Amino acid sequence: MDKKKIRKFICIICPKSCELETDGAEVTGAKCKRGKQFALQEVISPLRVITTTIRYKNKNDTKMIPVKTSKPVPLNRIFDIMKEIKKIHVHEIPDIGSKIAVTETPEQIDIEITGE
Amino acid sequence: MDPKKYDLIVIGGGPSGMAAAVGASSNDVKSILILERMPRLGGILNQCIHLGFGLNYFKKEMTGTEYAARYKKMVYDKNIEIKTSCLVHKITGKKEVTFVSREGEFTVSASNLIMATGCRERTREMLTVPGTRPAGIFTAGLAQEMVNIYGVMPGKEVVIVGSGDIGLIMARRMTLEGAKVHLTLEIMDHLSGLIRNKVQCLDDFGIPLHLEHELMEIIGKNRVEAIKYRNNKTGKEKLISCDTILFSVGLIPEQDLLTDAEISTGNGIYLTGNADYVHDLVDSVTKEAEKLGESIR
Repeated sequence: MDKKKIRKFICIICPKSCELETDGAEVTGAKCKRGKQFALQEVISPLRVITTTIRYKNKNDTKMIPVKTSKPVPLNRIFDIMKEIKKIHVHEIPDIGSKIAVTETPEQIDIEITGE
Repeated sequence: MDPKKYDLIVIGGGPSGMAAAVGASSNDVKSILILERMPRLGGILNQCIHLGFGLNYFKKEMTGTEYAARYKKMVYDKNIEIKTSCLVHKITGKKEVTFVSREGEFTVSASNLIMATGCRERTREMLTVPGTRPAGIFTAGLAQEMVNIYGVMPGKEVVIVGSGDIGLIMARRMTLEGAKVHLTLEIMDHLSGLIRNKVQCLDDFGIPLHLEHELMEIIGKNRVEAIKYRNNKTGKEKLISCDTILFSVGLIPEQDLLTDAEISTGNGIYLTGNADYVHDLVDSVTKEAEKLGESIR
């Protein structure tokens, strides 16, 4: 491993929280494949799934519906994407697992309904 | 008239209550009743919109709400009677259970009684923090319910006291919803929540965690205006303006029904889930409660 380039991460894939070291090519400290992928991705561009809520509204009733981005999104774009998600209102209660496109973002991002 | 009798009554329809009922049902316990005080099953999972659930039990990472939805289906598939919006306020050593609902007050009884009442958050009062008692002081879980279920923000300039998991999760949640989370104070020399939650909730958003720091005073007339806190390593005190304080300083198993009735477990009365002791992961709650349910005869 190239010692000058070594970066350390704590893996957030599962609660084991492995302590990872990587130079961008090799990874040490990971107990599984997903941990290795995580470290390499952190070097390039950290990705996270956003979990938030959208508002459901009809004449007599309003409530919050939980959602997540259907894929991880770049960490540095989270606030832009949040702004777009917050614009989404629904007037019927969507099914769990159904997807809604988040508009006006350059990349194709969907949110997925995670609760009732 | 004698109260209606069940083989098993489960008090609480959260993850442990649902699992205990499912476990008992798969062991051929015939008449099972779940009493839940909220309008739907799921308990605290319903306000846990974040990821980190199910890796162990369902072998898939899901949000708390997805975990609840999936497990609820397993409950509906069984022959289990469910009464929601029913608040149990009294139990007796004879396993009589009294609850109130919109229809009135009722008493039922059972051969077995499982207390799946979860836990409660420790509050500011339990820490005996000096200062005034203005608006703007919340437990982290209450703030989570406000934001995620009701869509109401508790405040804009936030300080988190304690580094429990719900506090860390709420630091990120409040930030995403446009609040400024200034810092997290922890009196101990180590984090009290999971390290992955510090990484993805504090570090990702540049929120500082101050270990060995103690909240000294809450300042504010009608609304929180500032807090005074102390670095316990150096003894230095500092003041920071804020309008909201979230406390994430531990959970206490909810066993008041037993205490009030002056009875303990045994003779067909059981505790499960966080009502027994506080768990880190819902997956282990589910497994333990299912096992307890399966042991009911």
